[in-house]
Amino acid sequence: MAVAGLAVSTAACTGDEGDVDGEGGASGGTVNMQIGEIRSLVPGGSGESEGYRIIKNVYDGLVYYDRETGEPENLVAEDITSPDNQVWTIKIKDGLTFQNGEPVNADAFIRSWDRTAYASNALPLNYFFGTFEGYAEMNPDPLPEDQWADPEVTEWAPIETTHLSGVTPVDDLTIEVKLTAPFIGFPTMLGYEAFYPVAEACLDDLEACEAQPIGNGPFMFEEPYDIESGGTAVRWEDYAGDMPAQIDAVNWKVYLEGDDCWADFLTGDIDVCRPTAADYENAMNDPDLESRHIQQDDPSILMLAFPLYDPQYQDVNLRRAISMAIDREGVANVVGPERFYALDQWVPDSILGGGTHSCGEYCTYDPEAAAQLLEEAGGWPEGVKMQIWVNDAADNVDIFRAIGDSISQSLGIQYELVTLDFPEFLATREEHNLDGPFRSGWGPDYNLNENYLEPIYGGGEATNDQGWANADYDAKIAEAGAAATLDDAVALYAEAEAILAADMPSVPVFGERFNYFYTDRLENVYVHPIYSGPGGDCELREVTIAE
Amino acid sequence: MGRYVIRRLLQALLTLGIVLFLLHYLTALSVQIRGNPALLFFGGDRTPDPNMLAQVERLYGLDNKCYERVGDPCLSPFVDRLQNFVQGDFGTTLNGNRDVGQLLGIYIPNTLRLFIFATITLVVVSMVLGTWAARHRGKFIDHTVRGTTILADSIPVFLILLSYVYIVAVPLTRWARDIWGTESFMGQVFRPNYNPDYPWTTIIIPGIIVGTVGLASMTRLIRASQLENLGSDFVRTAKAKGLKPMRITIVHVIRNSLIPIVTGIGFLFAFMLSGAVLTEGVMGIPGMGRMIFQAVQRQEGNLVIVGLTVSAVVVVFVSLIVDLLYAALDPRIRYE
Amino acid sequence: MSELTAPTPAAERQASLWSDAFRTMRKRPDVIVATVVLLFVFTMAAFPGLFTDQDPTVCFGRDAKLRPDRWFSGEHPLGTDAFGCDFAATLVHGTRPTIALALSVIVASVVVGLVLGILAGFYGGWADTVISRALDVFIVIPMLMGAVLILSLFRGRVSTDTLIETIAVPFLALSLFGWMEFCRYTRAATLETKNLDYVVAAKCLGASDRRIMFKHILPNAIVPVTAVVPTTIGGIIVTEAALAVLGIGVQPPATSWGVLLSKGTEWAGGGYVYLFAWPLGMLVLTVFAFATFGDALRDALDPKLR
Repeated sequence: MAVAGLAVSTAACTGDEGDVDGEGGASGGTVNMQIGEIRSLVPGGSGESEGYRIIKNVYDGLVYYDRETGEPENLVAEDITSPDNQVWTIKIKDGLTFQNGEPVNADAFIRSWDRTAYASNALPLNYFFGTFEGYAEMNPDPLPEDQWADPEVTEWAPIETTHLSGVTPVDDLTIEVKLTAPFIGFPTMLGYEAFYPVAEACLDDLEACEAQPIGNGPFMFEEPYDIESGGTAVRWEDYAGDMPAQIDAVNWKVYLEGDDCWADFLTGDIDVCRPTAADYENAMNDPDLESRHIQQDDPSILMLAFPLYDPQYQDVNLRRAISMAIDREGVANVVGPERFYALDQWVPDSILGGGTHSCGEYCTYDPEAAAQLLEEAGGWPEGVKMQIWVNDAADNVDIFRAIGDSISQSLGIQYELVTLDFPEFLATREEHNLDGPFRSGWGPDYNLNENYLEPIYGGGEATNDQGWANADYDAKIAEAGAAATLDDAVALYAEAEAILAADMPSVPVFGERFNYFYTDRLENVYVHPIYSGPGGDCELREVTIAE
Repeated sequence: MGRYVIRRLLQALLTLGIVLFLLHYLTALSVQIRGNPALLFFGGDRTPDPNMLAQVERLYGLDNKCYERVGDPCLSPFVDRLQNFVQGDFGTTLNGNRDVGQLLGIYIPNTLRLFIFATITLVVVSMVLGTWAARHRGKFIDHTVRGTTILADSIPVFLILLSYVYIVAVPLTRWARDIWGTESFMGQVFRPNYNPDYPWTTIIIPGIIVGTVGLASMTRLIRASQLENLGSDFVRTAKAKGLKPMRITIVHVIRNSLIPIVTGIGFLFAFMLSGAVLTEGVMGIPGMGRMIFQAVQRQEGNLVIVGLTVSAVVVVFVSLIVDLLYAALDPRIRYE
Repeated sequence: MSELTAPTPAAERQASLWSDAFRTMRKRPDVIVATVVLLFVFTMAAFPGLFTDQDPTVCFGRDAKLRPDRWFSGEHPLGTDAFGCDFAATLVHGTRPTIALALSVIVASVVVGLVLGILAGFYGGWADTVISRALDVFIVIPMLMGAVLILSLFRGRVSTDTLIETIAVPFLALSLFGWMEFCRYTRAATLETKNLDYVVAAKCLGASDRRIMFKHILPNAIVPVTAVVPTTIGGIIVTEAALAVLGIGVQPPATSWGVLLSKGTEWAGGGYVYLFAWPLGMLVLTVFAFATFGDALRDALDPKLR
């Protein structure tokens, strides 16, 4: 095994070195990007930021999210219309093909969606099709327990339905989609990886396609991508779409978990990189680097949520007191002041409908007012420790330790951090077994304020993690979904956010920020406000290389 | 001799069997206590549809109900796993569904390269220092060598590595590239991170740093054995014959000091694997140590079991070979 | 029965071996320095109040990472750490878990190793087979890997209220993978001693198994074990630091040198060198002292190498 492996890697090494020399000498048009470990390169299979960063450049979706407004602009789609927000008609531009020559037509999309929605494929983006008609038939319940061969192992009947009945090709370039309920935000979903097309040849040999995707976008892989050592995608010369690439090629170098690109950025081996919290200060003190710095808000947010099923946290004034006791700037100072900003709303500015500042004074640090509110709420029981629950990934423990310190200094409440592994944290949270405030984080699936409201707080007290129920809120969400125009819907969702703010089932703590630096070779470096990788990223279709 | 080898092999098999079961039990316990990793498949913050979750559990091979009962040894999945191993099927990873056998093919050579450089460093440095100290026994040099190696061993190797990456590597790389150019050997060797395009060059420095683990004990072993040899009859004879001191050192003393080196390396092998966890993590080398650590973190049970079993096999066989070499090098040792 | 056992040759030999060793050690300057360092560290672990009057749990995020402006004076003599706690206080209070962990692990490992080693060597047969297999199994799993596996199981499941709760899990993991070396030495020494004339004589005189094991064999077996103890303690301190850097050792907000180091390495690159240098200095000094002491002890107990 070892001997064979050695041979393989030596072979790979000579090949790679040849590549580097070739590109380095000829044009210099290659951008070197960092990337993490990817899960899949076929649409529907990734569902994490890193895979999506490659997929969105190798494939063209129906829409592309504008990098300034974040709004969906038609890319492959000619137009997307609906009379009632429930039945949608999507027209596709004529004459577009995949990199292997197959046409990009209605079937290309439908085969991709069917693959992702089919339960037995167990793809991470399956849930995106939950609102489609016909989803239930492709994701049935398991057989009753007495029919299992092994009483320990759940069994399903073979799933006969392999096609989403709500999706029909009207003609070669038109798709009709029926949803189970009206949803005004449907077009804003369509730029995500789950809705990208797939070539027929790709599904015929999925394994090959995972390594060397057959896309319809401006970049194409000429050689397979390797999960450990990355790969190079070159500009596809026959690209006929609206958003072509400017550079000759992009090389993705893999940084596996726990490793970062900053040292390689400093030696010039990586073109765009985010410094770690500690390196940030040094980078900003370097006048040369500082001029090549991009800082902007990331739509990911962090909240401290309350278990409303616990009698201790019933009083809204207690929840407000805790919120006002948190010194958000101070906490940010602990974990890297530039990486977070204090958040006083449930939907961040960069999202459509965000920027309401709905939390207002209750999200402002004021230890005296906090103490007073706590008193109004009946105080905190003597000698009881507040349990703060977090999952122990990344900086969470540090952040929530600083939050706990802050609450403890302001209100005199002793705290204890309970750190759990992510799976256990999720399970416990879902089962409503947390007995204290807990971490709640969210990154958007698509650019609409609804995505920050319905999935987290909707569904009533049994469903959402906070155990929160408010009939007005649920009614408002439903009303917004059926609104006539997107603008009306956004406004109605914002009203729902105000209802949420009055009840405070969670308190906003931080919004995150991108902090990227780029090398002096690059020009036209833009960072997408919604979809950017955590370690350093830029819009590869627009970036150019200075000569 | 033959019977001895067979007995040792049988013992090794038994040991590996126990190790396999223990690892299986621990990973099952991990799923039972820490929660089912299938939840991670959905990225975390959203609540997956229960049917979808069940499908993913099936995909991961974690759908057996025994994974919900804490303490259940999960014997039937264990038997399935053993059968698959026997057929050469090491299963797949959870994240990305990759073939574990293939992954080993990528990870093992990287770790081996690291070990090659580490072993060379360790042997050469400790040999030189040990010999030097032995020849100046009791004098200032002897004490200095001993003090320095102990000090070097007292600084945790991962801190040396971190200091290298954070402080030394970047300026050194820039300096070397200004003189020799980016694509040259010198332009690559000091890089702060492993680079798969230069799999040998960029692994030299971490290898050298890992090689300092156990320097003190190795130097000490060599010094002691040389002292023993220096005072032995055959050296006295050689001296009496009027041979040059250099020749005595090289031909008579060093050759006879090989025995402790062989033992030492066998013993240090397991330590190096521990060192590899942090080294590979800090330098971004996709190797076995880092793979196993990440697998434990992500609850990739299959990877943990396969990875640690591979390392166990290596340790078992290295110690067997060491014992056999021992007999070959030292005619006084006979195995029945 | 006891009056039949006159002072054994072993006892005399042992006594002179230990006092010889002590006399040799006493004369070496490096041993004296190492002892002073160790006493200092132990004092710090036992009485942190002597070194700082600040509470390490009072932390203001806004005051995080204040560099010490005047050394050893002012409100924060060594500045504040990454959470805004007084750094001198965290450093001093972090000593206790580190030292307590190292000492408890070594005690447990030595006791387990001695007992199993003597049992295996003395009785042979089944006891030996079982114990030797167990040895093999634990030896083929590298300590750090084994500890990682065990610690991940318990991570976040224990509170950090008291010292015992803080170090319990790392203690378990490190002891589980730390006893083998002692067991091997003891077993070898037992096998060697078992057939010596005075032991055989004691047996003929009707001494019980327990008496033979503890009165006659243990004093011999304990010599090679003692020789490696100080060095191993140093090794445990280093391993604790490694585990902390991997994020699975002593869990914050409890502190240990390892926890401080893992935070310190993060910030050292950004110019907060003191956050890294202080715990590193303490750790290296302590480990170096243990190693020097151990090195001298080994020499003293093994006259052949002198």
